[in-house]
Amino acid sequence: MQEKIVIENVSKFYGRKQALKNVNLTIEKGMFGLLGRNGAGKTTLMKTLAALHRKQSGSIQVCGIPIEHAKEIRAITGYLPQDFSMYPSMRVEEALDYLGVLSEMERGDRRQKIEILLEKVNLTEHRNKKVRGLSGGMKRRLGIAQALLHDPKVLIVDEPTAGLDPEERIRFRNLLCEVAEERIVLLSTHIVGDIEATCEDIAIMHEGEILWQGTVEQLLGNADGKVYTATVENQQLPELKKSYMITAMLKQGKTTHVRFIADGLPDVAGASPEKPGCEDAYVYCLYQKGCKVYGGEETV
Amino acid sequence: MHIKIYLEIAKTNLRHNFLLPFAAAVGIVFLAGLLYGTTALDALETAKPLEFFLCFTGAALLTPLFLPEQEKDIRDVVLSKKVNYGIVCMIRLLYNIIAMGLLVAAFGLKLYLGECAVSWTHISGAVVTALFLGAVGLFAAGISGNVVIGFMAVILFYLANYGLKGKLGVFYLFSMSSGQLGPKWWLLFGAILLIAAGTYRQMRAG
Amino acid sequence: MLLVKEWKKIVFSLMFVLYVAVVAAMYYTQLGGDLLTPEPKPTPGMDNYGTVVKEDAAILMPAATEELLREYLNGYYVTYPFFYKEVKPKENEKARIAEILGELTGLSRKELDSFTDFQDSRYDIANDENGNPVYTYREAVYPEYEMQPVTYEHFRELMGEVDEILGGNSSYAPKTLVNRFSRVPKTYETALAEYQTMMQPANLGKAYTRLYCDYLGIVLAVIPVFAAAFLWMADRRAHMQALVYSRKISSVKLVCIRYFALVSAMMLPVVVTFVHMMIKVEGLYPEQSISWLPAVGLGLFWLLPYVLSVTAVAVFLSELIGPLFAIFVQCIWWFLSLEASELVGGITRWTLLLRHNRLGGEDIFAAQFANFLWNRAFYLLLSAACLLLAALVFDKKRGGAFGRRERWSVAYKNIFRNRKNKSAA
Repeated sequence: MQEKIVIENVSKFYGRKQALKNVNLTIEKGMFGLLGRNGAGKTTLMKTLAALHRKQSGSIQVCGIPIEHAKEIRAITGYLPQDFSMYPSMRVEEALDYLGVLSEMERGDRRQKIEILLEKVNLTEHRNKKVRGLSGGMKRRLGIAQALLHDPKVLIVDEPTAGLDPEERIRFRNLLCEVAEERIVLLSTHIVGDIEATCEDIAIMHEGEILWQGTVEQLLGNADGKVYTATVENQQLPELKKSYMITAMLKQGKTTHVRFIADGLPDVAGASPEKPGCEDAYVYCLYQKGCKVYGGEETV
Repeated sequence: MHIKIYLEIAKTNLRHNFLLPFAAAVGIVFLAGLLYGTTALDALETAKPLEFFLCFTGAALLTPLFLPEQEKDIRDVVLSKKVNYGIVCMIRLLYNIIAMGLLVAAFGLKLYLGECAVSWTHISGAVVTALFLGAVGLFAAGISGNVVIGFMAVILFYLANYGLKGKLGVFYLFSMSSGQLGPKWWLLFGAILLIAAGTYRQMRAG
Repeated sequence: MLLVKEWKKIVFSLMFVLYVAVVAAMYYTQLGGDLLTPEPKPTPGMDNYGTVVKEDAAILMPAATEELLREYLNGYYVTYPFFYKEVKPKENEKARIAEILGELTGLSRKELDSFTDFQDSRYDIANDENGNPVYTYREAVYPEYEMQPVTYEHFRELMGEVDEILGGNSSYAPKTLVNRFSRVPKTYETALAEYQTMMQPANLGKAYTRLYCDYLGIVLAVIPVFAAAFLWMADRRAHMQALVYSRKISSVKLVCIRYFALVSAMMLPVVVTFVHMMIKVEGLYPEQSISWLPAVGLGLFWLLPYVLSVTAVAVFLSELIGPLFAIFVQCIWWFLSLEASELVGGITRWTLLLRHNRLGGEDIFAAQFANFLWNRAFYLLLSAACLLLAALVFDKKRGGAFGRRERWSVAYKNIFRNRKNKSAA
């Protein structure tokens, strides 16, 4: 069986609003990152891949299975929604067991897998806790455990790190990398750092369209030579914001240290070129494609 | 294999999602015993507690059928699993209808022991009435995605039966109490339709 | 300003739209017909002017006696404490009722108990020629008797005694005796006098207001619980609780503001339909002058306590236990009071629902006005109490109490630990 997801010319409307515009994407085994702002259409695309939403046109094949065969698709995909939530009155182990039943797993198989996964996501000592008593991070870990329970070929995780503390975020990312060795993991996020740390292949979505697809290195290469830093007087800032895309700034008394993107040589005294980070490259990509980008305090 | 899976689903659901609605339904049956006379009723009077009050057991048991997945995030997780969510709903529906039938039958037995003129027509009519009222709530809850609205629909439909009577035609709930005895085929048919439509909507609601 | 914000949140919700639709539907389906034609003036020589309650011993005594005989032979008595209740008297009580019946009918206890042919009027199930079940009616069969000569005063005493034996609120209670058993056909003169009373400027608006309140009350005594439970729990649904809890505003203030936003929003369609009705009424009686003030006053004092108390109870129970519990309790309460209230002339001090299902009937309503005032004042007080309790619970929750079941169990365990320590010491 071919281990890839092939998306061809997929469109979807909510009423009059077009949520997906002619999306074409091929996702291979390993970790794939979907990057974009809130509301870019990432969640819609992921739900469509998990056979929760129906597309209106185009075709999707997950490991060779057309998306219309919902039952077969659901048998090979694990899905972790953006705000994972489970029956609050159930205990952790019970919730996993029930979801295992819903995946048509045999009792012995469930027992074994739950044991392994609880260990993997560090919830073994909380196995008898009620779901309503879990912290945000624990809940998210329960979420990933349930998505992996039936050993899916495809794992779809929507904004998995939002709301986690830095330590938990790192642990979570590592866990995802680990499981991506044997399967396709599709990860959506609006936090650039997540992608940088985990994915090799990425796609950038904007207003329902795939704006760009490639490797992280290609994205960085794209922005090479476009990123500068400078220290400017505070009163110069408004002027600077008008002309360039500012990706970071640090106030130091009367002056401010800024990091910005410029297509040619910038007309700023003391500007020095910098190696682009993922965040810079992402913003540059949006800018290059003609999207409205907000600079200054508002980071993307 | 499938039967085993379905039994497992039923077991977990019975443990987590059945006891409170069932307690409410039992409360309704007890209240019916307190509110209405249950001795030496004639055939017409016997229909009254069965239609006017026991119908609420249907509302208590069926209307909150989708309550566990009312939160969208939970529903998404359940919908992404291999077993069709519709089957989970049908399993819940099945044991709730059995519970409803048993409760109505228990009340029927009390009437019988109280030497009331209770008949099978009464009991089956009462079960169908309860089923339909519950289905109205289930449908409204499925459409709106909120069980509170489901219960509201139950009360409104009940009120409509009070105020509009004949205008509801074949869907009039209290037909046995107003002198029309006989199987309530239309209510049964309507209930099945409402349950199917409500469940379909619930399964589609992304 | 918070009030306006909360108000907007409510008014633009789906729940509120549904609520408005329900109020409008009730108004339209129930009062629509009454507002099409003016109340006809009685003319001489009509067959029927309806019945009127008139204290007449010659009618009352035989009717009440027959009912008592029927209930005695049935073996149970129907009373209405808050709802329908069957009372089965004990042996000595039964003997006393038989004695009273003997005094009234001349039948001895032996004669009464040995009358085995007794048959209450009843419906039986039989099958028609196609085998379909149908009801068949059978007439009642009573023993023959003659009313014994007793004075009306003594009769009333006897009935009072029966009522006491049955635990009160039976058909024989002094306050219901006349109403229940002494109805006479209205004469042309009384019908005309009633019509003229109704047509006075101060009364005409009130007459329609009573009918309006009668119908609207049925929905206002239950529907607010849905709207309140739904909207009150919006925070929890939106996972906003912690955010709201952490704000500076005092619990009492927040709860009160939200409560008044709910109540005022829910009164809105009531006010609109009421004004619409009054304008229609003015159109129906173009020659009559109608004073609005007494009508508006009556309507507000009648309906506002419904919305206030149902909302307050809903908010309190939703906060304490949960919205579905609040709905369950309110629906049962509503049903009980719906069953317990008489359509006309049954206004009591305690039942939630006040009915006056008739246009006119000024005298009947006036006779119960004291009960009416008492009842509405009671529900106003109940609202205030529940609102206060809701604020208290909200404040406790904000401080972390009632949070999780675990907390309860911890508290429980601690109680026992203390006890053990004490007993050890």
